[in-house]
Amino acid sequence: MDTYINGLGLVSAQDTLASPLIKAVSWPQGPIYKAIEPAYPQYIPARQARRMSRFLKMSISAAQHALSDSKLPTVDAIITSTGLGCLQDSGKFLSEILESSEGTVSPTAFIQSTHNTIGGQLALILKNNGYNMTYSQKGHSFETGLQDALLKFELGEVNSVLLGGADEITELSYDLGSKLGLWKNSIPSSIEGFMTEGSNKTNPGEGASFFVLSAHQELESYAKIKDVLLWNGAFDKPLMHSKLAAFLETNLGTDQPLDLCLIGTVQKEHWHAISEPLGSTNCIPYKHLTGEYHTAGAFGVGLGASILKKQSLPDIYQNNPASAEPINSCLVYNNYFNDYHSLTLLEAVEV
Amino acid sequence: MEELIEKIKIDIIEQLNLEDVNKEEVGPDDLLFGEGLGLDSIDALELIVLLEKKYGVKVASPEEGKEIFKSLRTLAQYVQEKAG
Repeated sequence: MDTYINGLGLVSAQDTLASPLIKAVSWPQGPIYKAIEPAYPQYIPARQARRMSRFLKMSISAAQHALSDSKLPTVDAIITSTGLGCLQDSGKFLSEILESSEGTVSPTAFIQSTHNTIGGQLALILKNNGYNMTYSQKGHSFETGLQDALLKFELGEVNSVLLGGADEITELSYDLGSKLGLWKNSIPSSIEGFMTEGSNKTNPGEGASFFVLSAHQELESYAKIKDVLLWNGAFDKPLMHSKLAAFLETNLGTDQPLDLCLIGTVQKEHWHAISEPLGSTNCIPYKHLTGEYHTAGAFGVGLGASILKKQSLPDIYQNNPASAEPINSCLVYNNYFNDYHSLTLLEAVEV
Repeated sequence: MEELIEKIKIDIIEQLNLEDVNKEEVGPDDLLFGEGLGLDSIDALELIVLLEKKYGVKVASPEEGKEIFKSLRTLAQYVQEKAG
């Protein structure tokens, strides 16, 4: 069964909730890509929002935006994904335990510190008793959730799914990442400065990307999701080439060209390994827009779907060679800290 | 007593993030739960933490909570009784 993206809500370091086809890159003021927060009262009543952390509000807003975009009041299943879950609440709860010497602590932070808080809150808000699953597979969290959604459609168990990927950066997680030597200290201001050779040090980011997936094509559908593939392992050029070739042959055949490839990586080695075998296919980067986080791949899929719907690249890529027109196919490659690779193939819908 | 009621009211609004509540509209005898301020069971737990942290008062039995948390006045009376 085919799977279509019929609604989209992207909260990121760019102004993507207003329009995923951003007109100008907002470079971060410091080494961290902080998400641009939406006007929450537009999406969440004050009474519901009062216990929610910033991360939860960002995620619920993205999900509500996607639902409203799809014009579906509810869905058959809710699938969320997150690498590290509700970090702020987890940190708050653990700090309070220490500060109170294991005495009485606020229950709210504890209740909301779990990875499936977003899925649970969405179920409560939408009064949705359907399938509700949260995936937390490090840098493959979103793609694993997407696989589950595609299987649900394949088995005919659902007609619609609300799928999302979200992660936040907090002061504590930034400090811990610094101690582990994960981050660059420099402030990115160009794609060249963002992507480096021989190092996977990066600038951390955060975001919430939600999709309404459907078994049915609508007039306003963004794209069709053809397939997703994931694998683990350090940089291995021959392996990347063989995975890429096999994936494209399975899904596009040998004579259908790939029109566009979005590459989400901080390492130039990955960029070359993916773009070189694609020859004349237009390749564009996206991780300089989001910074790095476990579910940044969801942003890439959202951007690709928007490009296919509008049949044009965002203004920020105007210096790139013109893409083939029409843009019928778009491949999204995402890499997380060298070890987590994924390929997602999107196809334009026939209008 | 009135001063303590006012202080507890401000603490509750702040602790429970009741941003949509106008403190002038909450009377000392209004119900805190159900039809009154509309607090729920998680708020009850937050109130227990609030009383312990800010006023050094412990609510030992959940049964007595029903009466203590009825209104701002019953809360203030309990705090005054235990702290006094």
